[in-house]
Amino acid sequence: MAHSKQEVVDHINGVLIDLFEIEEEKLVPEALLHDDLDIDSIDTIDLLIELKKFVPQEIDADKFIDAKTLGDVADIVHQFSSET
Amino acid sequence: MKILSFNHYWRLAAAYLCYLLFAIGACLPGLYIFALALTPIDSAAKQRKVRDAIQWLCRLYVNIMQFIGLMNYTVEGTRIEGLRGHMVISNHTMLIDAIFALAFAENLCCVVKSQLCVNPFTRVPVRLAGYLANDDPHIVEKASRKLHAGENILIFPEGTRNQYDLQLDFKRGAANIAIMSGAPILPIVLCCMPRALCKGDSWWYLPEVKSRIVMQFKPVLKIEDCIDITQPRTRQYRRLTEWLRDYYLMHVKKVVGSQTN
Repeated sequence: MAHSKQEVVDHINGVLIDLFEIEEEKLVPEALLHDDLDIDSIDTIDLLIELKKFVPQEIDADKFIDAKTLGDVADIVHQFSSET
Repeated sequence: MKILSFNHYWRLAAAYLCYLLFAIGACLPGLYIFALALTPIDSAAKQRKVRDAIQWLCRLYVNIMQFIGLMNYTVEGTRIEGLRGHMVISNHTMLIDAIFALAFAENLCCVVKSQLCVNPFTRVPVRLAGYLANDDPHIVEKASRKLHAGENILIFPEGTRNQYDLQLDFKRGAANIAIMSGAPILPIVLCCMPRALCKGDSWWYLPEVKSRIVMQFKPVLKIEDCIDITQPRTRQYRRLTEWLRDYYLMHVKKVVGSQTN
């Protein structure tokens, strides 16, 4: 099932709050994953694993790992969500 | 211009000599392994011999530093003979923390700054001893493999030397490796009083009085005794990092406090 962009954003934000303990006010599209949200390389993998459960199609790991901002992540997940 | 005591000048000369000795000493394992390369033993055995040589050199080095009056040191707590598959974690207060850890804990694989992999004095022993570079993108997986194979991993969770004894900024790397591997943690607490060889200090900047270094081996920790391991892994990384930081704050405070009272 395809998800709307807003559903994707809401889901990612929920994961970041619940599993990564990031404050909601920091979750803006331009937030830098590493510098602003303290998401390191291990977290990136864990986030990818978690988001794969939401999108019933394999997310391109290389694209995902190259994402710099929260907006980039939402775009990538939405793209793979839309292609299902 | 401030007039220094004779002891201060003596320690400056001793520090210069020690830097020279370290530069020479770092080359020796390279020469040693060159000889080992000609012997018919496997690479794991060679790596172990290089690590033993590094341990011997580091032990010699700290004893020379003490003998010539640069500092005094004491080692407290119980050292484990035949240490296997442990994460050896230490706070990072001075330039020679790693030398102390390498001198007193066996078969250590260090996570070293990537610059040490290209430094002309250190790159040969670093490579031959099988150490890990801190910018290796697969460091967690590699460290976990080494731990499961029985090697011990030395890691400074702060990543770089701290500015103050009681202001510890632990990064998550150590917790990531500990949780991924499930390896037990051997904590080492290192304190230098007064502080010396700090980040940003020139080698000739020494405190007015000789430093006393205390190295404490603490009881081995199991991750499940530190944090709730039923939580999601992402939370475990964060909880263990905080737990370790608080643990070190408590123990450093005890040592530093006992020296000032």
